[in-house]
Amino acid sequence: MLFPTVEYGIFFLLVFALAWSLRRQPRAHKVLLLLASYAFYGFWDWRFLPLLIGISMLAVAVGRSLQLERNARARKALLAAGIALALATLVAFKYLGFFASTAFNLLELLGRDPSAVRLPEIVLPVGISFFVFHAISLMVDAFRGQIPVSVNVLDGLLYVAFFPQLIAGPILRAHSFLPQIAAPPNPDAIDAAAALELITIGLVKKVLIATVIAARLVDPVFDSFGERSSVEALLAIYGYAAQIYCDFSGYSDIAMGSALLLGYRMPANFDAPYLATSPREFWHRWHISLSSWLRDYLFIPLGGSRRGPRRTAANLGLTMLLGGLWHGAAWTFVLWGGFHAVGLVLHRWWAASSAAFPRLLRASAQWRWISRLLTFHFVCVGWVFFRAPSTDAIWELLKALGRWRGMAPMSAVVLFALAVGLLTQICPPILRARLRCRFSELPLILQGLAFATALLLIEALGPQGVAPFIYFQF
Amino acid sequence: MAPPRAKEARLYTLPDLALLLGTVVVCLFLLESEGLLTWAQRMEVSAAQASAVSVLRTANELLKSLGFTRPREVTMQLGDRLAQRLGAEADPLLAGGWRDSKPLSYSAPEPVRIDEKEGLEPSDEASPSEPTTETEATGAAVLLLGDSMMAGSLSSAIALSLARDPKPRLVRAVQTATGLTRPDVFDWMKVLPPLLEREKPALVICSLGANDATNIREGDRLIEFGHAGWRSAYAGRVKAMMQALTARGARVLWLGLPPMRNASFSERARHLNFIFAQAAKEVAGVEYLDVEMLVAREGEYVTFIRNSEGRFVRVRMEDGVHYAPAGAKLISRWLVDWIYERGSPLGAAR
Repeated sequence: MLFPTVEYGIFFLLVFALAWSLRRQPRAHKVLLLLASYAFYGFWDWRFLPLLIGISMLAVAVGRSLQLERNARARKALLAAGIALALATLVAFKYLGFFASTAFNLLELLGRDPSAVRLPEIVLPVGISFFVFHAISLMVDAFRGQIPVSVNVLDGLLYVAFFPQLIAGPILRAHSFLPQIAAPPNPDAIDAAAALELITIGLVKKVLIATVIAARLVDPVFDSFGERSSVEALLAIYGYAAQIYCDFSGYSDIAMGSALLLGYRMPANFDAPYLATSPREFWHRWHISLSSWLRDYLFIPLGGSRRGPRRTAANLGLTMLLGGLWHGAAWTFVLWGGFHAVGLVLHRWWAASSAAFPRLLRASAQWRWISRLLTFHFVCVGWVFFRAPSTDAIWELLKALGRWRGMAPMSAVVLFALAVGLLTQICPPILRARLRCRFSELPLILQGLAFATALLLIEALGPQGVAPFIYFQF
Repeated sequence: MAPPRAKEARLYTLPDLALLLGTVVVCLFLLESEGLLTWAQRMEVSAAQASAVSVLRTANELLKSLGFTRPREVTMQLGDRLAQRLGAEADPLLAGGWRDSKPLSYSAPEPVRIDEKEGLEPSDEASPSEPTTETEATGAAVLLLGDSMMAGSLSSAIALSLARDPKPRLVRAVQTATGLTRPDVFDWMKVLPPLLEREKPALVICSLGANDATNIREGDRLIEFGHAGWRSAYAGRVKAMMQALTARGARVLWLGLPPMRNASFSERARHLNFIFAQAAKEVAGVEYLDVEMLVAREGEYVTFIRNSEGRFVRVRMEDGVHYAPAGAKLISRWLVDWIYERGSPLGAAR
């Protein structure tokens, strides 16, 4: 069930009406949200519901035991076992084929014949990367004593499976979201103006921008890069930068808007990422819920940046390589993670350098814009790794950039969508806040009419049928 | 100095929000009856779908007579006009029309100019008698036609493999999520004649059918997949398509469907393959190609396969349906051998 569909609209209205009508019975209210979340997941693939429930139960059991257990050694063992089980499940479903084929190819290279080997056939459950990360967050936060409420089965299951974030995030943290679930949502303080704004902006980004850029520019060029010229390749790369931002942040916006209407608040997942002036800042602005998860549960436990520049570089490298691999079982993603790790390490070295030239450049008035431009293009090169169908294709794509030739005529519609896609991120928050405030002061009927008109415009101007969100595959 | 803070929007009580959303639902039902009807029409063909369509059609006709559908029509017209102003029609990537999200991604014929030794380099050689624009033809045309099985890695791999002498020009006519069972959603038989007239392909490589194992509606009759009459109805459509493709003397390579990870989908695909193979025997100029031997193992679905160098390569995508780049490469290599070695129309041009 995709967000921008009639099916989701009907599903959401039903859940909204039933959930709020049960607000005085907190238990029934949560059971309803949980069942709705499982129905939402089952709509994708009901066969993996037991897996989702199993992982959630594991997290709840380990989380609750950690809250009760006082013996330090037992707590450590319990946490290690819980995380190992959750990660083993992720590896089994997502990476076994990839690791096995790589291992057998290595054997082949070493002259051993792995004939008669049959690689495992495993289906990738939708959203597994997200719900396993939720489960780990619950266990680690419980271990660290950061969850201010006691973990129980119903709350824990709902935290992992809550449908707005179930398929593609944002990745919620147990210590901040479980307390929200524990207390019933307040029916007198619903942030509906922000919710409707998020849903509208998310739909515009997904339906009017990402889908158009993908269908008209990015997919055709990336599917035939061997025949494309430098201008086309360059536009397609910028196009993909705009597409993936609009697609993913649009998804997050609609998820956050849906949750707000049900009375729950999720953290922001994007903050104008292409305005970043360094790779480091980019990761503070892009897919924030993942980068902060990796920082808190992987980079810092590894030692973070406290153990000297070499160890920091190694920690960054490992974090980014695993972060890349999290996106998919393919070398393209590992290379993408590695590319970002190199960028982060180089930037650290540059920022710490006390040589005259870097200091002068950093102090110049133009540096802010130069570094912004450099960072954006660094990220764009990274997107080539990310979007390429195979590692062979990365080089062919980059080669297309050097193929000077005219370009196929391209309409201004696509360029317009591309420009708007990149510019959507710079709308000043204060302007949005003012608009939201004005909107909320209108008579309710007019507010309803305005939101309906926005939906009508998006549907009528947008293309028919909307492609799945990019992040569903992770 | 602290940044200026805007006044925060007020928070809503539940009755307020219910009134607001109620207004939205009523407004949308009144203004979007046409969109809702289209949505119902695109659902899988079934008895429930037929009733939904009939209810929504009645509502739509009533609301249309009252003028409620006008805002949507005007918006769409304005959108189309704006798109045209911005040059939508001049764009080959937009040739399928602005309104369709999955456009017939028809790329204007492009000479594939790749020197095997030099790799992917542009070539400025063009026949002096031919206009020298980039999109002008230089050789026999090959039309790559199909749904998402052809889009992406397969068409890309074929394009790269065909980049040898005699350098055919490639025309892509790819539309994802289409087939022959739902002409009400996308009608290949309507799209093809002008395309064939314009491009006059010598060879058509076609991969369709992955979306077709579903119910068919013929007039008022609903024919469920697997029930009596479905096979002959579908075979009729396949044959008509093959005849349309060969009408101007083109040779057609019709690719069968590979085994799918989902067992019942795989069974359905096998059923369709049987129909394709039968139809190909009955229409002159069409050859059916079974891809099972290339991307499957003993007729069964596999994600990884050992290639000719003995290395494991991923031949299918995570979804268990589409070809991964290495799988597409295996198929395209085989296709190109077939084209150049088995007396294809392109072979004659050498």
